[in-house]
Amino acid sequence: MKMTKLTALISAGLLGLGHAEPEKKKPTEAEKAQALQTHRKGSEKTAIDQDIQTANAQELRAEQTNMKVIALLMEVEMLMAETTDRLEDGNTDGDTIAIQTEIIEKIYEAAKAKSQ
Amino acid sequence: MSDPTSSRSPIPEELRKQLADFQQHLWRIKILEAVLAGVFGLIASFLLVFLLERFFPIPPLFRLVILIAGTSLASIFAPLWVRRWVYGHKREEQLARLISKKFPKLGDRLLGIVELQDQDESKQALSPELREAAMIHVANQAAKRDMADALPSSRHKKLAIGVGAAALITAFGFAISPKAGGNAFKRWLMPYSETEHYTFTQFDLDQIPDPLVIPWGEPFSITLPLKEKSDEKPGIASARYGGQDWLEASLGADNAYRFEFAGQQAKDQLTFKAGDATHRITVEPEERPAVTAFEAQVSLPDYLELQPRTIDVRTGTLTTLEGSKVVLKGTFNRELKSSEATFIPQTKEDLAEGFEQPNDAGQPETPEASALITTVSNNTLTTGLIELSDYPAEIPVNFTSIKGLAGASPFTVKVRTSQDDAPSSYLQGIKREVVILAKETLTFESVNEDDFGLKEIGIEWQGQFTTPTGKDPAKGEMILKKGSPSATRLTEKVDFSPLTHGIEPQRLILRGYAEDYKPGRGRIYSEPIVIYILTPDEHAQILKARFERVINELEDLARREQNNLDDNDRLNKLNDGEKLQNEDNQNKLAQQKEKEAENAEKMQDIAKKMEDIFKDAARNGNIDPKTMKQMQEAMQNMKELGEQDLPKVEEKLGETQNQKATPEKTKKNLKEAIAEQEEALKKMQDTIAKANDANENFEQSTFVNRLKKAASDEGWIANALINSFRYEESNDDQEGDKLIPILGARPGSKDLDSVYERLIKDLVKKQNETTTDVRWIQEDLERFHARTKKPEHKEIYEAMKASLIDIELENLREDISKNRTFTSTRLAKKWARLLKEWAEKLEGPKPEGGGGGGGGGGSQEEKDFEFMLKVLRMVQAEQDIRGRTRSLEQLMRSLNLRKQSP
Repeated sequence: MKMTKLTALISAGLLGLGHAEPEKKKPTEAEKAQALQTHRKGSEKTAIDQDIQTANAQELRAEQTNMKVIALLMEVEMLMAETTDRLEDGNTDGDTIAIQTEIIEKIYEAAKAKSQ
Repeated sequence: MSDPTSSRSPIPEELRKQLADFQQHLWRIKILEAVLAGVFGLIASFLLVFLLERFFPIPPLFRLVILIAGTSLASIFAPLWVRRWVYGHKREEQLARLISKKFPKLGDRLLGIVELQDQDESKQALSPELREAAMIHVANQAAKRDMADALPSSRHKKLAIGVGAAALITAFGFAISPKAGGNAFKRWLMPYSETEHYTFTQFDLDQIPDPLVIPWGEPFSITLPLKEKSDEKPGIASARYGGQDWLEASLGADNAYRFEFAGQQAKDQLTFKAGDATHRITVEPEERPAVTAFEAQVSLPDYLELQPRTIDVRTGTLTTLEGSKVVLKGTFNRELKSSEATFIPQTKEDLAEGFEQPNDAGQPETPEASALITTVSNNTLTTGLIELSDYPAEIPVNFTSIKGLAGASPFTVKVRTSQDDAPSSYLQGIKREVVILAKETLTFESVNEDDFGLKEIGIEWQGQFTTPTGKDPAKGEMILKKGSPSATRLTEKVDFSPLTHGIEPQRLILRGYAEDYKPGRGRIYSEPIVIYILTPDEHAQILKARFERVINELEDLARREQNNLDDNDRLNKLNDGEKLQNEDNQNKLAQQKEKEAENAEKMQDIAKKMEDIFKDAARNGNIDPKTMKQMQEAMQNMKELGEQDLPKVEEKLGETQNQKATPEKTKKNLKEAIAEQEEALKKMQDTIAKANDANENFEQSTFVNRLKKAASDEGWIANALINSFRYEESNDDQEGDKLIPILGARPGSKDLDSVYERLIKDLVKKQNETTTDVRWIQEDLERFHARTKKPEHKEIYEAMKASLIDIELENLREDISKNRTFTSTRLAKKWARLLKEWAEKLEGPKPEGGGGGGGGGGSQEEKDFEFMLKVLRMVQAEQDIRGRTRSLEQLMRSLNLRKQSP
C-alpha cells in the first residue's frame, strides 16, 4: 500500500514553540483595498456555490412525493435564493449567516419528515 | 515774752535741756534698735533661705513668706518702733510719763510742771511765783538724777551682736560658696524668678528630656549627665521610678550616670538624686509608632499606557514591572515627627549562580544605596519617586513619633522587579493536525493572555506544496481582534476557510499570534496547527486508510468476541446449573460479563469512527453511492451491535449471577446469553464482510479517480505544449496565430526564449510527478488484484504492464526536457487517452440518467438511502458555505472594514 507523501507528512507531524518574530506593520489602505477585493471575489464565488445548492435542492424536491417534504424543500429553495442574492451583493453579515443556519435546520426538518 | 495779762511759766532751762538730752538719747537708742531689727530680719531671712536651700529647694511661696517675714522687721516693725519711741515721745509730758515708769515720783512731778507750764491762768488763779518755784524745785530734783537710768531697757546691743553674727555667718557662707550664696540671695530676693536652685552637684538638665516618653512596657535606660562646671561630682547617684526601689549608678567617664529601668506601663515621676541635687522628670510610657497601612503607588512604564495603580504592601513585599516608578506611602498609629528611607539595591541572584562573569573591567556592579526623600504629614509619610531598574532592592523605612519614639523596627519593603512577560496564544477546539477539503471551514477558538494588556490578536498561515506546482505557496494573516492596554485576555472564535483566502490544496501551517505593548517584542505565536488541505483524491486516500483501520479494529473485536463465546460455551458444557452457581464459576461469569461490556464499549467507539468516516466520505463527493450505501449499512450494524446486541449479551450474562435464581434458571440464562452472543458474532462477521466490500469498492473508486487524474495531468501537459507553439496575435493586421520558432530550439541555448525555458522545466517536473503517480497506481493495483482476485482489476493491471507505461512515461519526460515538442505532445495525448480508458473500464458502466445514483428502478430502501445521502451532502455543503461566509465576514471585521462583534 502506497504510503503517500501526504500521509507520511501527516504521521511525521511538526511541533513548534511559541516564538517572537519582528513586529509586523499595520494594515495599510492598500491592504484594506486588497481585503475588500478578496471579500468581493469570495462572496461572488460563494454566491455561485449557493446557487448550485439551490439547484440541488430543486432537483431533490422534484423527486419527492411527500407534501410536507416538498413544502420544506420549497422553503429551503427560497431561503437559498435569498442568500444567493445577499452574497452577490457582498453581504456576509450576521443576517446572511442566520439565513444559512435556517436553511440547514430546514433541510434537517425535511429529512426528519421524510423518515416519518 | 509773757502776756502781761497771763501768767504762763516755762520750764526751767536746765530741766528742758535735761529732758531734751533724755529725748535724744531715747531716740538714738530706739532708732538704732529699729535699724538693727530691720537688718537682722533681712539677714536672718536670707540666712534661713541659704541654709535650707542647702538641703532642698525651697518652693517660691515659702521663700516669699520668708522674705516677707524678714523684711517685715525692717518694713513694719522698725517704722512702728520709730513711731512709738520717736513720735510717741516728742512732747515733754510724754517724756515725763516715760520717766515716771522708772522714777515714778520724779516723773509725776515732771508731769506736774509740764502741766503747770501749759496752764494759762490769771494772776488771781495761780501765783506765777509759786509756779516758778515749783518748777525750779522739780528741776533741782531732776538735776540730781541721771536721766539715762530712766531710759527703757534697750536691746540694741543684743541686736547688734545678732546682726553681727548673722552677718558673719552670711559672710562665711559667701566665702565658702559664693555661688551658693549668690544663688540663695537671688532666690531669697526674687522668690518667683527663674533662678534655678543652686546645688553643689549640678545636673545638665538640657540633656534630660522632660517629659520623657518611653516605649510602653519596654526596659529603658536614661543617662543623667552632670554639668562640666558642677562643683561636686558625687561618685554615686540614685534614681527611682515613682515609689519603686532606688537604683544606684556610678559616675561614668563621660561625667554621667546611666540608669537601667525595667519596662513601665504607668505614667509617673522619675526622681534623681546625686549629692545635694535632686531632679524630677515626668515619664510617660507610650506605645511605639506602628504601621497601620502601607501602600505603593506604582506607575508602570509608559509604553503600557496604563493608569497608575495602588498596591497594598503591608506584607513588606512589592513585585512590579521593571522600569516602573513607585511612591511609597505609610500610615501610622501615631503622629510622626520624622522619617528616613534608604533605597538599597540587592545583588542579582543570577550573578551569584555561576553565570559567566565578565572580566573585572566590565563586571557589572550593584548600584549603591541612596537616601530617599521622605515627607511627613500628621501620621503619614510619603517617599519621593523611586525608579526601579532590574535590580531587586530593599527599602527600610525608619520613623519617629512626635514624642520621639522610634518604631520597634524599620518597616522594610522588599522590591522585586519582573519582566513584562510575553503574551501567550492558544488555539483550542481543534486538533494539532487536521485533514480537510478546500471547501471546508475550520472553526476553533483563539485564546490569548498577557500579564498587562494585549494589543492585537490574529492568525497567520504559511503553506507548503507537497508536490512541486510552480505556484507560490499560500501565505497570509488576519487580525482577529484589537486589544487595549487593560485587555489581559482576549478570545475570538475563528472561522477559517481556505477557499475564502484563495488557498489551494497544500500543507498549511496555521498559528495564532498575540502582541502586547512592549516595544520591539513582536508577535508571540501559538503551537502550530498543521492543516492538510487535500484534493478530493487525496482526501479519499485518507478516508480509505481510516476505513481500513476501522475494519482492522472490527476484526480484532470479532476475534475477542469469538473467544468470549468459546469461554461461555465451555462454561455451559462443563457445568450444570448447580455448579454454575458455585463461587468459582460465578467469578468466571462475572469476568465474562465484564469482557462483554468492554467489547460493547469498543464497538460503540468503532461505530463512532465509522460514522465520522461516513460523513467525511459524503463530504468528499467523489465516492460512488454504492460504496456510500455499503459504508452506511456497515455503520448501522456497528451502532446496533454496540448499543443493543452486545449489551444484551452482557445483560444476560449478568442474569446468570443472580443469587436468588434456581440452578435451572441460571443454566437457561447462560444458554440464552450464548445464543444472543452467537447472533451478535454472526452480525459482526456480516458487518466485516460488508465493510470489506465497501472498502474494496472504495479502493476501486480511488483507482478510478487516480487514473482519471493521471489522464488529466497528461492532457494538461499536452495542452501546454500545444499552446507553446502559437504566437501571440501579432501587431500587424494579419489574422491568425503564428508558430513560434520554439520547435527545434535546444534548451539552454540562445534560440529558446527564457519564458519557454521555464515552461519546459515546469512540464518536466509535472511529468515526473505523473510518472511517479502512475507507477504507484500500477503497484497498488497489483496488490489490490492479489487481494480481490477480480478479473477487471487484473485486466487493467496487465494492460498497464504490457504498455510499459512506467518506462514510456519516463521517456516522455526525457523528450520534454530535450524540447522534442511534437513527439512529446503526441505521446502525452496518447497516454492521456489510455489512462482515461482504463479509468472508465474500471469504473464500469454508469447508470442511465446521470451519476450520483438514484436510478428509477432502484428499491425503496435504496431510494431512501440516496435521499438521505443527498440530504447529508446538502447539509454539509450548506455548512461549508456558511463557514466560508463567516470567514469572509471575519476578514472584513479584522481590518475594521465592518463593526467588530462584541
